[in-house]
Amino acid sequence: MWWPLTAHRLRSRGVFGMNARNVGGILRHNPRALFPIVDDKLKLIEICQRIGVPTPAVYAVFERHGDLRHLREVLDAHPDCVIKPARGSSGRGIVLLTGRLPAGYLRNNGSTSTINELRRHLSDLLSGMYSLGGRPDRAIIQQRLTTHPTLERISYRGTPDVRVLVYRGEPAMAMLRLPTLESNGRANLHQGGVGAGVDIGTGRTTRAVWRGRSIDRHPDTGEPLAKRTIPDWPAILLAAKTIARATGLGYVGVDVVPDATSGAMVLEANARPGLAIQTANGVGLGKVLERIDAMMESGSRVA
Amino acid sequence: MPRLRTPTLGVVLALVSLAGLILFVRGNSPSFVPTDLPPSERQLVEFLLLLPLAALICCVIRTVIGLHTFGTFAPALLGLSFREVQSLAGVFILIVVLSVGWMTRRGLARLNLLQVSRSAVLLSVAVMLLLAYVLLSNHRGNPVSGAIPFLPLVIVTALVERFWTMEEEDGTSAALRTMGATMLTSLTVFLFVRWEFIVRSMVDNPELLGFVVAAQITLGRYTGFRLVELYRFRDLAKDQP
Ligand SMILES: Nc1ncnc2c1ncn2[C@@H]1O[C@H](COP(=O)(O)OP(=O)(O)OP(=O)(O)O)[C@@H](O)[C@H]1O
Repeated sequence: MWWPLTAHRLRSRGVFGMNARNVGGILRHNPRALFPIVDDKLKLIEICQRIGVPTPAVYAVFERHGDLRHLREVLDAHPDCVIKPARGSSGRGIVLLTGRLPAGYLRNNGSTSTINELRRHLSDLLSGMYSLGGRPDRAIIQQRLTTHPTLERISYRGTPDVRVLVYRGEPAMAMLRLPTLESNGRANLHQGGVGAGVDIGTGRTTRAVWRGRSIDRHPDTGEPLAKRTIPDWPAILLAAKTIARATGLGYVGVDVVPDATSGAMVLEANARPGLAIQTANGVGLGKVLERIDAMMESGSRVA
Repeated sequence: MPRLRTPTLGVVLALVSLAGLILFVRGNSPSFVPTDLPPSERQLVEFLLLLPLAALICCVIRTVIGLHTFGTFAPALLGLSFREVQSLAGVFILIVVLSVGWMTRRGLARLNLLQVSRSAVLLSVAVMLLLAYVLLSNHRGNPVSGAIPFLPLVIVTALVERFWTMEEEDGTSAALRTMGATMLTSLTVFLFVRWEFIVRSMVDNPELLGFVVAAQITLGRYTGFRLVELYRFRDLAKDQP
């Protein structure tokens, strides 16, 4: 009895389901040939560097298992870094290191990993354990970004980022993603991170969800989540728009970190952005996209 | 809801009317599949004819219900293979192979192997188990016939590998949930393909494949909600403040 009613209400509020997103968003606006640009983080990093959009420094890239014997040198030179699969998704396979200890490397969650454990992780990663479709992958050793002071009290042991959904070149919706104890330093909702809806105009958070339900306070720090101002907001929007234009994708999620020292830094772009952004904002995507479509049709562009 | 203008409807109608036409014209004359096929050939033909149907069931479960499984068509092959082995024995073997495979996988994690070799070892262990089962049931006087080769060992191995990865990355409960959905989907496929009426209809009228493809295409244009999304987005359907 309840679900035809739910379906009707969701539809009238313009909520997108996966099928609608796949057909109306991705198939329609993202030509398949453009996917490789965003599916491989290294390609996107190259684009960023070429067009001058700030992105974290890459310390090293590992391609072959044999190269892993150099891992120790790289990590000793940059013990504060992030290891991530070039073709990963949903935060899988990402390891954050914060320093060097006699026994090994300190991870953001307080545990230590020995060089052998890390080498095994990288070997799995190269074999494609975390990559889209299980294809062999490359490992990126990247500069670790740090949390901006204004967001410190609503982040737990990790760096928050902002997911901006850009539709036909216009920022349509945004969500601040916050790491939790459960998400282990990564801010992906899929891993148990908090998602806070953001007002595009002001860059202030409105409400938040955790594990699919509304919450008012950060589950670990207990701080209220609404009405927080995201630092560097105009720069974040600009970076997202620039990246969307550079990739040519019409329906793209761009992840930007307001770094404590370097400001807005682009982490990656996603050609299949998820739907949690709707729940975080409490608004259906359909309505927002229609508004942008109408704006495009009438030819009036709002910057 | 923005839609692409595509000739989908035309293609679907053409397929349906073509299949319907053949069905009608052929009337009661014998099927394209001869009745005097040797049993092994017949088994193969049945398998082939049922595979698209099994794939269609997977499509429905994914796009209309929204269950997430390990591999898109793994449940289709699994469900079909249950048919080859006697139902209960098949499920039993599967569970044994999966759990032993999972334990082996845990052990293998310590050996620091490359992923390909690790999967190969898993496959070999699964083969040993299956071999033991075949020999044992033969010894007890009820041979399992030529059915076992159909149990897609490679898929079972991939299942173990994926289960393990997901368990590591997303936690045991997520992995168990996906495994449950995979089994549920396989079971649904199995319930359909063991239905004598369906098997008979497909073998007697292979042109029904036209309808199956039409249904697959139609589903490919379904943009409505998946059943699980009604639950996922339930907060968005509430009366808003
Ligand atoms: N250089 C970095 N410094 C600090 N944290 C990082 C860095 N790179 C990634 N992270 C953390 O990991 C999370 C996921 O990163 P990223 O978006 O690159 O991965 P992903 O697997 O592609 O995820 P998704 O596809 O869901 O966006 C980020 O939200 C962030 O918290």
